[in-house]
Amino acid sequence: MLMETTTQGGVTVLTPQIVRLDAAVAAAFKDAASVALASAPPRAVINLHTVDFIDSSGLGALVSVLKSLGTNGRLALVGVAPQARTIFKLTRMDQIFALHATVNEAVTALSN
Amino acid sequence: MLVLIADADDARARLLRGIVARWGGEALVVSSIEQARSAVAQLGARLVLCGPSLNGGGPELVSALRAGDTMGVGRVEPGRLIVLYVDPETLDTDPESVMARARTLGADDIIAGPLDAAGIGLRLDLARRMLELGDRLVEQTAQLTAAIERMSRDLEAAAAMQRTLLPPPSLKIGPLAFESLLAPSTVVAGDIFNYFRLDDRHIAFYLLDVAGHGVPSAMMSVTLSRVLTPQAMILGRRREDAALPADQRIRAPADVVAELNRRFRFNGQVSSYFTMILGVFDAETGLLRLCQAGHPCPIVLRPGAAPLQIGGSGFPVGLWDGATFDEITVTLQPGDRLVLHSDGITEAPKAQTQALYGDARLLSLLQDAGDRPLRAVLDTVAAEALRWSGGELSDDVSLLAFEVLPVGALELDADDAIVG
Repeated sequence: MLMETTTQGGVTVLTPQIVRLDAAVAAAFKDAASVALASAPPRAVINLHTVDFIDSSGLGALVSVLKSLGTNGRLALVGVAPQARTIFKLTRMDQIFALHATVNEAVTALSN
Repeated sequence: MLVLIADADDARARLLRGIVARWGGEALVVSSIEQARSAVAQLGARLVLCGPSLNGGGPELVSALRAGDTMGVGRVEPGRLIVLYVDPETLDTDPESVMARARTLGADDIIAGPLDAAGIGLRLDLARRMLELGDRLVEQTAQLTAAIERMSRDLEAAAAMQRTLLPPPSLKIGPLAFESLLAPSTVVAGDIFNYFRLDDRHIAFYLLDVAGHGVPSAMMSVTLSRVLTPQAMILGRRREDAALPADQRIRAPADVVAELNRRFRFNGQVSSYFTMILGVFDAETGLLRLCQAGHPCPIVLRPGAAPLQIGGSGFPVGLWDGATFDEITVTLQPGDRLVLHSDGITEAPKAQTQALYGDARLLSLLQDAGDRPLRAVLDTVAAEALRWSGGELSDDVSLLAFEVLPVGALELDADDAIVG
């Protein structure tokens, strides 16, 4: 799985090039994210603007990434599609992850 | 290795016999197509050097062997039998030549020009390696087929075992007439549910959906169904609990779910968390207490009213350590129905467009179903999810529903098991 990694204002920004974050790619996503975040500060943004569907496996993978950042870790998500927003709300994951409209907004929020 | 030399030209056959002997093979010379076919069928010859002057025709032998006309051995696949066509006189340039015909008919290789021991030895080496590879392929295919059959049987057995954990699909417990349905997307399911009596007035039920699919999710669902027993819903493990009046010993669904959240902690494996609805109904007051843990909203169907989703949100179980769980309460009256469903219905993607079935379609389907028998309503919803998915479910579909029966039906059935 292709995972684009950039650093912006001391925050790692991951952009997975996928359309569905589901059981088929969840493990690969988790692995790619843990490689990208291994030596990064525990603040990260995942840009999901290409993703239009997240299922329970995808949600589990996102929580795994957040937990891998440690107790002080902060993970913001950008570009969460309407279907995924519904899932985040239903499962209250909108209280666990900060959801932002743009990468800049997320980076600013994490930098404070 | 037995090498069949099929050629009626004595001088060439002798030459070939010498070459085969030097190569280390055991040569058998035949001069007609019938003899060649019988050598393949009866002696199991698998390497054939076929010459042009065979009685009955060289290309005809190639054709016969490939077509399976081998006196009962059946169709011979490349890899089980190698036919090398030998023709020192003809050059393989004329599309009409016997050699070109032999090749078209399925010879594995052609040896043209003067017979050369080293060159033929090399072809024979290659042929033997091909036969060995073919044998290995057959052997491995047999092993794989056996392994797949064994796993399929195991999976079927696991599915049968999982089905034994489900309650009867139609079951009346006190004033509640339950109906349920489980349609796994693979053989085994990550969805599971149950309903049972807790005491002479309380009835508990749950529907849960383990994240992910397949065997890991199914194993987790079986574990959970073993944990979610009537005993888990009733206080009594501590001495002071045992002293409580019976009706105060029923645990709040949210407390039971919170305990599950402490027991089943997320370990990075997707199948380690699940969503669920756990409910307790008080038959005396009609009060229904529910805990919604990341699961789609329960739907209340009241005669003459539009279907109503209750609840809204809640953490899944086992995903987040600090999660807290809320209680939803609603008072039901006779005639009311409650429908719980898994997201295998509302998140079902349409075959071509990937558009999700969604809550709105489910609610409208339930509205249209009106007061049809609950069994028929559930069957319709499941059929609709299957139709929407183009005939193949991508996630388990489960439904649990009940109707509150009229007051006259409230007497307890003597058969109902009472756990206390």
